[in-house]
Amino acid sequence: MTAPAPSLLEAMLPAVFSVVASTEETADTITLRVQPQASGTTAFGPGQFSMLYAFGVGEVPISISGDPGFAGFLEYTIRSVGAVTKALSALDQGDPLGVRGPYGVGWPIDGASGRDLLIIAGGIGLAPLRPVVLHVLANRSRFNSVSLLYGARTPSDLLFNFQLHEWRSRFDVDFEVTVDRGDSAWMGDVGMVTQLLNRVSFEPDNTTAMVCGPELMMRATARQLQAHGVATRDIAVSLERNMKCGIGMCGHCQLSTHLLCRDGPVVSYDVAEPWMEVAEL
Amino acid sequence: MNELELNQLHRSFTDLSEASLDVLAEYAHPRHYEAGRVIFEGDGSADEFYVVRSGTVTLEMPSPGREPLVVETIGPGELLGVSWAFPPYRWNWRARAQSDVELVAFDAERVREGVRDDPVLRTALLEAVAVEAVDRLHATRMRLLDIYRATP
Repeated sequence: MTAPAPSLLEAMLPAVFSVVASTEETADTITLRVQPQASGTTAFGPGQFSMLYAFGVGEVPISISGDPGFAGFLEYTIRSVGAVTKALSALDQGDPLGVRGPYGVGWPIDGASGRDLLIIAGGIGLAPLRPVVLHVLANRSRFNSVSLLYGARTPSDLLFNFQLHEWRSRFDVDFEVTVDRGDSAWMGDVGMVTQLLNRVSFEPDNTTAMVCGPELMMRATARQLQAHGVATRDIAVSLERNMKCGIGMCGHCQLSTHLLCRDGPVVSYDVAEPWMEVAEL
Repeated sequence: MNELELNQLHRSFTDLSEASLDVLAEYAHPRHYEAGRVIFEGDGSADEFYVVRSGTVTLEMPSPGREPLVVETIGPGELLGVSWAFPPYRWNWRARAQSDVELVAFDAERVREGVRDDPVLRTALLEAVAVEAVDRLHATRMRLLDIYRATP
């Protein structure tokens, strides 16, 4: 028996959550851990997003960046770039915020079972992929080789530093990190994340790739994956557009035939590829 | 260095014939550098080129009064050095072992001589250079765009 679909009013009404913790990731990025004050779901699938409402300021779509195996709270990694994200970033422990969702289609984790898995993130794009990483590490035996490739602008822009060390110490995961510009203390790779593909081994015809970052990065990465022989349909990307309602009603996030809040944000690259070559849709 | 090892060393070597691999093997020598050692200097003669087997190498530019500026790192399966293939055969960047590094070094002068009468091998080597150069050009252009910068 399935739960009745929420009415339009219910779907548009945010549940009130409280901030449990706010963790500074970088100079302009924080991770909020929130829990419902009364009602509100904390179940989600990796790749889904919520509409977060900073009361009196506005609402923005933010991907869920926490562990799907942990019930009771949700995590969001937020970069302060506009009025709403700035207000959300300023929230402190105990402060309220509105949460609608989770919404959208997430990463194709079930389809990746038994296959080689490439998780490729650029910049803030690691946030929507972090639930995948946490799920995969908790269920490692379900996958063949697992490679995580992560590119950032500088060493001080790397997210989830405490967890990067933990992931790097795993013997059952290939984890490579690169930055566009190093500094005197940086002893890691310098270069574009696409170049790391040469460092990891995978069977192209048995590989699922999940890619998230700026669209230019995703397009360059998808092309490299295609050049390595990965089928276009086996490459998943997460697209961001102007999500407003989150339920496929308002049409603000329409991209060609898709409403990304409902049919995305994660789509197969064979769907996304024609759109990513168009200057304006 | 045997044919099988050479064949798997670089993606452009995988389709080489046994005869071409034999020729290439004559010019190949394993080489080890400890972390921090300079492999070649930025104004030196490009008389060798390398393929990285393990570890990473930085390409860097010395800068007076500060740490060298690292422009790129080269890792396993990648070609280190492209200036050996074209006149005036001089390096443009300093290469330094970032970690302990295992390389295969090729005698560039002998390779240039040896491939003159071997168009297949000559093409494969130039393809290896071109593939790496194009990949790095694309990657450098992407980095120039500064795509990870925050935009409202």
